[in-house]
Amino acid sequence: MIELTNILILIAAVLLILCIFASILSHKFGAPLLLAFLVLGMLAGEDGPGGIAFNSFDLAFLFGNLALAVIIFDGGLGTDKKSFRVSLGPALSLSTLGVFVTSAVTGLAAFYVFELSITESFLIGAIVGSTDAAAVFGLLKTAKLRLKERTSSTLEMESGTNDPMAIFLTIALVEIMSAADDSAGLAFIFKFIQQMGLGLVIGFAGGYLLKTTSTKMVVPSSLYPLFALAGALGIFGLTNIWGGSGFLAIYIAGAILGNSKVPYIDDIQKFHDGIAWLSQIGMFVMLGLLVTPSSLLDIAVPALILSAVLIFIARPLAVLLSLAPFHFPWREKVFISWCGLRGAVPIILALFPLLAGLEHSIMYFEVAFFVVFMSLLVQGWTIAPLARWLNIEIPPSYDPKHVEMQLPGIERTLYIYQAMGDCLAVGRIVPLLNEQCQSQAVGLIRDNKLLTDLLDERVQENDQLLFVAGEGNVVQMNKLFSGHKDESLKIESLFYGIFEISPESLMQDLQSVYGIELNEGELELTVAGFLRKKFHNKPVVGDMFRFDTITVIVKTMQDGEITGVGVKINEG
Amino acid sequence: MDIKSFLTPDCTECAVPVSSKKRLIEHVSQIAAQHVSNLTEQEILDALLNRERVGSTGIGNGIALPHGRLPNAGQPVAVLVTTESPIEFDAIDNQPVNVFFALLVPDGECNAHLKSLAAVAQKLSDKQTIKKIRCAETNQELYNAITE
Repeated sequence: MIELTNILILIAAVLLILCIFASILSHKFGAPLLLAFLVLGMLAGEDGPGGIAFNSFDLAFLFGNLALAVIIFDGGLGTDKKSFRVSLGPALSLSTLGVFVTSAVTGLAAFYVFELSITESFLIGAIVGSTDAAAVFGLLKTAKLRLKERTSSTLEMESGTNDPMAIFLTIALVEIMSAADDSAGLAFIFKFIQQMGLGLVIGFAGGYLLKTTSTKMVVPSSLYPLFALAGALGIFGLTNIWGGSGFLAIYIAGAILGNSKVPYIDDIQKFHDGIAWLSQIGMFVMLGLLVTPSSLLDIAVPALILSAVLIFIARPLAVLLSLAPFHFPWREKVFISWCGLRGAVPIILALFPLLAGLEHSIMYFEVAFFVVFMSLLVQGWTIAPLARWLNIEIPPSYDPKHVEMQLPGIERTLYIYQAMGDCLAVGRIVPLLNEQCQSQAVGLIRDNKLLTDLLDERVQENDQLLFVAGEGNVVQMNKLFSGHKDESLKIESLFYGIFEISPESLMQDLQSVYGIELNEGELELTVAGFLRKKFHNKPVVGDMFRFDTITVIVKTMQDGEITGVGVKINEG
Repeated sequence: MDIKSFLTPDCTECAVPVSSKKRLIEHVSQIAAQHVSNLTEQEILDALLNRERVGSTGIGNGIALPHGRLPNAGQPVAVLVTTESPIEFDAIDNQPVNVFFALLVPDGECNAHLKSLAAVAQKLSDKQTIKKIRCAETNQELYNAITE
């Protein structure tokens, strides 16, 4: 037994190390990381050189649920309340109506390609109904893509919130099928209210309890992240036991905690990023091990058709319908349609019918596995090039390395920046910097000495500056202390145009300079007001409006207000 | 685009001894007014100031491209000046400016001429060109630097 334990630990460690190295390869080839984990699992499994025969669906179900809960909690922790402004509505529509439409259309297709009853077909649709946040965001991050906030935060929040819906649909269908009663319709609606209602209530209550307790208790700092994890899993378990959606509850609890100022929140977030990765790796490798690749051949053709329907018909249709009320530019809609990557959730959901002992269970599992694999392969590999092709990328934001420390008692933060050789700050006198970033320089470290009399001091290369400033001023400081200033300016002017105008200037002044054509009532608007109107009160950085001669582009925003507008002279 | 088609050597002036944004714009208007027959210096000044009111035309790296639309001008007029010492111009990168390329475009073909402005910006982003412009010691040298 001791030897077996050691062997198991060794195997797990080797797989983990392989996965970590796989991330380097995946980065190089632009392949989706999750696909690499899945393939590694399959290689380690019974049909591959690893030859490990892992067939315990019970164990897979337990670990799968645990891992999913952790991943969704981490997603909640990372959800920024600020992004609610543009993405709450669209994301909720996608994760409810969207999942329903995707599941229904895919289910209908399953009815035609498999010899199954209509309920069984819809079960397949429900199983593959939700998207995977980690899959999408891992890809965007490795490709170094910065998308407009409207697109990125909608996708992020969608994938965080759509799992409960898919899980609900699956569980409800499994229950209806095992009970085999006819009063399904009513039970279905009641079940929906119960799952979502309890999920919401316990999620909010639990989240606040977690937040207050974390703020009030005094324990060693390393225990705060553990407490958050234990509390979250407690909320998850309790909600599920009471018949609610534990996944919805744990997501909400995460979002509440992540947006609060509880002690050590940075540590809590870092810790959960780490274990979310571990869960991600563990789950995919395990699912790769669980499947028997050779048996996938039997269902390959119909599953391929199903994947195609999901990718090319169901998802785009769902996005089109769900986003209809929200005025998304068409390019962004196309991109969101293509970003319907399926991840681990469908494979875990496919275990539900298996454990309930339904007919065709193994087939559900294999179909789900196949669809996820195809989605990661086809969509995963093409997301970054598509974003470039659709021109929905925006220039990277300035983010030089710096240290931040919240000052207790006052609403101010201490920032420490180092002046790189080719940043804008070098050569300027300190009072000018203070003025430009509305902050107060309190010290300057040069050659390991601290200078505090800064009135006539000019910034030199490698100086470190200590500023006390409000959170809002960080944008300007980042810009002043970012290296490669010439290159950044070039990239910026290429996208936002060479000129910047004040958002408060009037459209009629812009008209007198550039002869643009305006509709009645637009003359008196400010430029910011005009852009707000054109983008239905929810503009984001990168939104642009093209006139005959010039294009005006939202360049910077703060707290939902436009603070900078670029002007580009139209070519051609 | 041929810069020579709207910039003449006598609209080019190096090391102008002005020290403020306002004086610079006035100086540029003065030069331009001598080349546009049916417009006064004041009208040109107003056009340029109107544009600056919307936002500075300083595009960074010590370069500014003041411009404006003129109702009665027959053809575009450009003015290129460098200043003795850099002046504060509220540029995009908050750096002071010492190279100014001003363009006044006639009402009708606004679009076509604005494109020339973009082309000038492109030309000025070339490190060699801007270096020659900054080093120019006579008006003719300055003219050659941009038209080469």
